[in-house]
Amino acid sequence: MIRMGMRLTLRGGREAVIRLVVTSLAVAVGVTVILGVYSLFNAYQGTTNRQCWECSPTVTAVGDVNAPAPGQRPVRDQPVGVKAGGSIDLAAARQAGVKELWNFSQDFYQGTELRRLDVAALTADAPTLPGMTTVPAPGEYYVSPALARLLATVPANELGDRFPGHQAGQIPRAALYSPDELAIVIGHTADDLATRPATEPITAMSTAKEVKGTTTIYRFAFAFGTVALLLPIIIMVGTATRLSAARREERYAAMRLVGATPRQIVTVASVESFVGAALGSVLGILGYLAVSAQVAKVNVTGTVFFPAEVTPGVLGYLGVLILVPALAAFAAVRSLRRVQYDPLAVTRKATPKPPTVKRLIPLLLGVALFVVAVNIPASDSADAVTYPALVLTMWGVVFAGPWVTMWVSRLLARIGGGAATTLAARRLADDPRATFRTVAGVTVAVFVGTAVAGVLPTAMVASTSGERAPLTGVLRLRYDVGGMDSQGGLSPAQTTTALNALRAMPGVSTVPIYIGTDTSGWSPDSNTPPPLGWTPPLEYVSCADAKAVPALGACAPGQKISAIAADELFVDNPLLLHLPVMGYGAMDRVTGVGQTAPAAPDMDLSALNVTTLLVASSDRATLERARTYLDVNAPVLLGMGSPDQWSTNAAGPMTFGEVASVRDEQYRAAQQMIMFVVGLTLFVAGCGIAVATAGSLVERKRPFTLLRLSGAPLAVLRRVVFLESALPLVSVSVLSGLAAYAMALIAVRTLAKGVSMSFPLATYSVSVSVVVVAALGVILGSMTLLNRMTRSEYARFE
Amino acid sequence: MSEYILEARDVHRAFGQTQALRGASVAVQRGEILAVMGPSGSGKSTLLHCLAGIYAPNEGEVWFDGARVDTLGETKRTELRRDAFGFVFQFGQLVPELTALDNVALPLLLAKKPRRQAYAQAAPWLERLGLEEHGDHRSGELSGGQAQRVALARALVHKPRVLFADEPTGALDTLTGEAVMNLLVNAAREEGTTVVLVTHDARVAAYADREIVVRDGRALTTPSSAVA
Repeated sequence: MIRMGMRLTLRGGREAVIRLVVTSLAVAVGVTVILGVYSLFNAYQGTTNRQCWECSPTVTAVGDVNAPAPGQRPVRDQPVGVKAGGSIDLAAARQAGVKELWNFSQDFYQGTELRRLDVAALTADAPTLPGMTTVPAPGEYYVSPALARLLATVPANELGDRFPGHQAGQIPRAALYSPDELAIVIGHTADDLATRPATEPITAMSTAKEVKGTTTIYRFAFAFGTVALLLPIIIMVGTATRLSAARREERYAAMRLVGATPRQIVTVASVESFVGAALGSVLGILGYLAVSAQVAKVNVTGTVFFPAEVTPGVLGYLGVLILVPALAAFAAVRSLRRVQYDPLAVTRKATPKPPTVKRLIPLLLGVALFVVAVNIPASDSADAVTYPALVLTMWGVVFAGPWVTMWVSRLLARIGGGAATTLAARRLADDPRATFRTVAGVTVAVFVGTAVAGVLPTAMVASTSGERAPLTGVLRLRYDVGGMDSQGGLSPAQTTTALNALRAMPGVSTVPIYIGTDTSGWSPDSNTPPPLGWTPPLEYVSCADAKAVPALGACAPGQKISAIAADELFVDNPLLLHLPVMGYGAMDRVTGVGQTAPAAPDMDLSALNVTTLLVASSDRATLERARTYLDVNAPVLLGMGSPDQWSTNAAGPMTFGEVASVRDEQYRAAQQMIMFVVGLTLFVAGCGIAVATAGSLVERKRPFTLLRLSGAPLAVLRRVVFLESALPLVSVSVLSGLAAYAMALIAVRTLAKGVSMSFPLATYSVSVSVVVVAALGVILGSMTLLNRMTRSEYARFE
Repeated sequence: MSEYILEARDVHRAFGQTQALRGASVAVQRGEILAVMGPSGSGKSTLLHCLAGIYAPNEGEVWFDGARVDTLGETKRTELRRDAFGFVFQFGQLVPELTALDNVALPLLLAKKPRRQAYAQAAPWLERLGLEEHGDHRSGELSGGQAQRVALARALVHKPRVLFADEPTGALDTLTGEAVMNLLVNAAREEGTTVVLVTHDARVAAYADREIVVRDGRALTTPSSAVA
């Protein structure tokens, strides 16, 4: 029977070939898409499996903690060789086996993060970055390929001048996580780095894998995306294999009449499905190979992957070649189990009962579960409820689709009066499941897209909206954080030099913030920790300077100097940035209530050290020149440890917008990923609609032709076909969009109290309209088939 | 051995609320050609289907060559259709994707005969029925008469004991119908095949050795035959 099946599939005439081609193409589209997604997942896995050399451990010694004197703070653990002031004791470090000194910092160029590692080898066998054979010598630096391209094109005073020395080579791929990464490793002498704050002693390179905060969300997004994609793919392939079902029934009935057993029928059907799927898998692989170069350029996680890593691998190729045909054959067997082909060509399949209102239950349960989930404090247990709630709701929309379709069709039958409306409504009401199935993929895409449109822009806009918006492009640097790490800030002379240079750049405004001299009985120079309960001196700003950044606040008429809670400007969560900050000594981070400072004394600010500097410019290139100048001439020396310890509470120089973007990275990444999946889903769903509509026409060729022969205008038939697809598409898409919007609203109102949902109505409306119109366009495109198939000269029924 | 190769005894069959057969009884002798006549909706096709093991009656018995057919499971009835029975229906019911030769060889292939042997056995039938030039044509490329002759060849290729023909000329013009009936009857007589022929056309019924009339689900005999 296998041979019989092959015979029927491959040499069964033109119609059989067409069916084979359509099925194969449907499978090929699905395989290409799945291979593309799998390739990107593999590349992402490559990123997460990357050696996190940045996580190299600092050498610490046991027992470094000294018992504090009464009233004094305990001396905290210090890496070996690090003196109390933060510099490295090289002799002690070498004795302890330290081989290298590292100093990590984070820089930005036009909003893009730039990772900088200043390094000094202490021994000949100092560990090197993965793929590098040597540590950069003093005066040398190695750059990532992307940074090398920038250095070659961007004026030096905007970027290159920040880096001492000359380029000696490029950082190899093994040490990078993306071809777009901006990274630099700069060689120094040991003496130079030893005195720089936050320099770490290293003995060996970490071999641990990199785990970023976004790892979990990406893994979920890939899994969610694959599931969301599989639905329209399965629908499309299933529709393609159901093409010419009537013809197939005729064939199987004839075979049953002459004695074919059900098992023999199933074998033939399985072979047909297997061959179509096998051919489709091969075509799909070829299709993927044809677009693989473009797939490698897809940016779903915020950065592109290395092209060589974007591949499904042998496992992926073998998987589709084996699993897809096997699944297709299995699906054929399963579907035929319920169908007993009668020798008289009357399939004994129970007429499906109309869908009941119970079909709404999963949707309602999903929404209810989601409400519960967003009210659980953020934790793993919240995630365990949130994700299933989302999946249940999405599936609930698809499950409820036939019921909605049925009711819309009944309504249409009641209010519509024409022949086309009657025909379409009757068919929809008879088998709403089948008609809804063709458009299910689009409704899934509408759901996902609406949910994303509701939640993510709100999250991102909230951080730089309202009163915070004017700060987006303002650079902020923190030269002194007070307390034990106090460096004293920029001296008056340094300040004068820096301000003169910055203010000479056209369009640059500066707001220096000075630290007062009231140290309350303790000095950072004392080399002892401050007493418990000690508070640092107040910080002050000139009212005239502060006008350059109005968001800081305003002075009273006649006032010249104001206290300012400058520390507030360095929160890592822009949503917690409470403005104004002028007039306060400190702000409560949680309540936003400020401690009103006493009136500022009359004093000469130019005699004070500067702890904080704000720099504003409306021109990006000018801002980068300012940033470069500050990096070279007035660098922040506080340091931030290794990237896995970085936070946006970094001292700078970063703009407030860059701070928000670091925090928003997860949201942006998730949005990008999800919209990528939505786009793919729509593409597959569109293909599915095309296949389903064409197949439906082929199956109903005879009744449509008879209708036309008996006088029904072609326009009536076109309206019938159009209404049968358009009605479920529009009605369930509306339901889907409303459900997703409601969930987004619930999420925003519960999780971000006081924040209004920032729904991009214009963009969303246009996008959804384009999607729906495109889907309707596919349906309309099939009308040419209708005309051709139902012409009277073709009305010969074999 | 019973003289009757095929018997229906007080057979009842309903489709939903429609009672198609109400105690129909008929006996068919070996080698005879029996015409089953009756008006449309009388149950004659249903009687044929029960005799052929396509449907199981709700009540009554169906016997074939001394064995009960109505109590057989679907698998056994399928085997019966494949090995012992042949079918010619009004519209041929050929497999559209197969050629004429493939369709004729199909019952042999289903019976797991070696491919070469199956086609060797099928090919002469095309020649016998005047279809030797149409062996590689599909059913869509054949005229109605040609398709019926292919169906006839398929029905007889495996030398069935009984041939069931339901309105075999219903879709054909008079001349073509006569040609098909001549071929059917001659081939059946040559092979010694019993024929049960359902028709509403008296000219077709004239080919039979005996006629019965089905009316309101009951089989009525003609004076020239004796029925149990």
